[in-house]
Amino acid sequence: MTDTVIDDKPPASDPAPNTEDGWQRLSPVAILFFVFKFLKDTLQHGWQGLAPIFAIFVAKGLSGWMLFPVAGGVLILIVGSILSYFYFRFTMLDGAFLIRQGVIKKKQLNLAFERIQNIEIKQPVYFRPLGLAVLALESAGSAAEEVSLAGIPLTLAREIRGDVTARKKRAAGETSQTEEVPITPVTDDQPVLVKQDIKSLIKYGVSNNNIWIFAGLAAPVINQVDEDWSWVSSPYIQTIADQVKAMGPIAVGLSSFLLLLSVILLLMTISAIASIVIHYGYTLQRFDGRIHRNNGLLEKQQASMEESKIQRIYVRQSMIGRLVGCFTMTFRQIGFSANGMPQGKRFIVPSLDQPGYHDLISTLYDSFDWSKLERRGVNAMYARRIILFASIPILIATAITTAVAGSIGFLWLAAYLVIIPLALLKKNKYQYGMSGGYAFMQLGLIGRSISVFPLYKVQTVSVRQTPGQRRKNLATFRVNIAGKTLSMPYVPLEDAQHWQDIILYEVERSNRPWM
Amino acid sequence: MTDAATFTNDAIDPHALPSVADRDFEAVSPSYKTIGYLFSAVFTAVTSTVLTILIVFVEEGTIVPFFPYFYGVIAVLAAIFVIHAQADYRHKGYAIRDKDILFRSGIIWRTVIAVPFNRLQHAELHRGPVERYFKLSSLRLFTAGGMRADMTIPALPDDKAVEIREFILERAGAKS
Repeated sequence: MTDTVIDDKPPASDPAPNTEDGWQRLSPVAILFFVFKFLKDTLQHGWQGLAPIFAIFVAKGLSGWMLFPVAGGVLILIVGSILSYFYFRFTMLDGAFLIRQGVIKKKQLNLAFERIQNIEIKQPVYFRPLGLAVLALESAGSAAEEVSLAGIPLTLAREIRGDVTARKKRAAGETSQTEEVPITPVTDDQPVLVKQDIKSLIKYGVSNNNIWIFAGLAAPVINQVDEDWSWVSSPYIQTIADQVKAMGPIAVGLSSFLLLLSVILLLMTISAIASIVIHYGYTLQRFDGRIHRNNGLLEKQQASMEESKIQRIYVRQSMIGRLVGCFTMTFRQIGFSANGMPQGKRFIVPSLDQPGYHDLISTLYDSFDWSKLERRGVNAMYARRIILFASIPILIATAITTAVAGSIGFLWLAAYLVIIPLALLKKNKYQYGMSGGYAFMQLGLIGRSISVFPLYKVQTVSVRQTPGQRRKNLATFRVNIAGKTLSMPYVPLEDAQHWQDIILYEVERSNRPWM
Repeated sequence: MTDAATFTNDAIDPHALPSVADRDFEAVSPSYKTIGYLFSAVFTAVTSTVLTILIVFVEEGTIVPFFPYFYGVIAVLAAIFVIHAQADYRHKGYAIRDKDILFRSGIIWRTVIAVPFNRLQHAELHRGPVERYFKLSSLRLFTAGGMRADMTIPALPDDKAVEIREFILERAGAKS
């Protein structure tokens, strides 16, 4: 039934479907999509509420009375999904999507092609044999305006994406060269910028910070499932514990360390598997002024982003990433989430090594030249300041402990063995430089975060001086890019003012759209 | 990209750039100081009234012996507010250039912020009750940088504030 969709190859003006028949339904397989979507939303937003139910299941087994709410839940889920399918209708009219949806609260959404920011084709595993796909539309506005057309044929999804892209281009007033828009969304003929194999995805999974998120998710569930901690004092565990204790404090320390290590390794394994599932077969391509990525094992995703929308390229290396030599790149866009806080949309390139991210940045920002980038560091006064501020609690603690308990209080001074190296590490990670109209700013402690952005995308610049900085002729400069403030502390005043002047010059002479 | 034809990238002499550092800044209205003094006076009046009421009405023998010293604390704070008002006025200033507006502020942490006109999203005039009495306005400028105003210039005389806003909006709208 979806095959009869408007087929406007020369997409000048859509043939307006003026009857009710213009409204399309999705493929019935979309019911499955609604089931999964509902489950996913519940898990995302209400998993804490579900954890105790799950715990009761585990502890008590499936007792008779429990069946009623469970059966009820499943029934609501299925009926709700079927109704969602029946009430979901869409059409395309005058360069806009009209979408009617909602079972209890009906709503009609009118989404003009021009306002669509991101358009993404996903293929969940259960759509693949039927050649169906999900077309996810995201507008520049609020989250309420995001909508997915689930269960339309893959070819149609690609066609719609091509049309939307072409129409947006024409709306942007591009010159005559666009009459033959090359609509080739899936592309074996376009050069591939990045292709990630399983090995590098494992590296990414191990080094990204998701393992801490998994740890956080697991904690309450474990607590619920295992409210009964008496097994810890069971004779078997006690015997082992006693044996370890008997071996002395080194054995206790070592075994605790091993226990911690195995927990971390377990979390890393989960994270590595998640990374493979999400990013399997990752490829990054660049054509038509957009960057495109393809990835996913169970759900294939094709997403693209206009290059001109990138506010800054952000490269991050975590602590573990440093051990395995793994950087993650994200393209940050401007965007506002439902609660109004700026939250750039993210477009990830996982698992790059140093030459990898260097090449990618100089490909996308072609006048940015790493060999000509003169990296400058911040003044040593920055490290001295950190040590000075850390000294206040350390010295007070030393004084009090010494007064009360004698010379053992001087042990507090050992804190300097940690503070001083950390302050120096942090100071040395701060680096800044410019090349070919782009700025480079880096900060970090053990890992590092690098931002590279075109100077003309800056919104405001400020230079600030504290009294201490004034004496040494130093300053802190701040650069505000849409949605993010980056700052560089304790640089020579002359440099800060020069950056302010040069950025203002670049912004003010540029008439390129920054958004 | 369409601007490939017009795009030039000549080497520029860093010393030839117009520099923010050698701008003269224009002060905000002197009434800004007066508002500071007024605040100090209201603070002194309110706190010493409360203190006096406490001294008169609270029963003796509790914490009363310390109370009279608080007059001294109030006096010191009032003096600090007066000095702060003067210094704050001295260090606040704005400069309007051809393509951007600069604002400097801060007594201890001195900041100079620049908002280029072609990044301006909107401009607001704000008049509080006290400002209305002194016929003053604050000018708030917003870029796409964040949720809050990127620049707030307080205590501009009403007509001047309107004039500046008109000028800025005209410049911001005149994108090539």
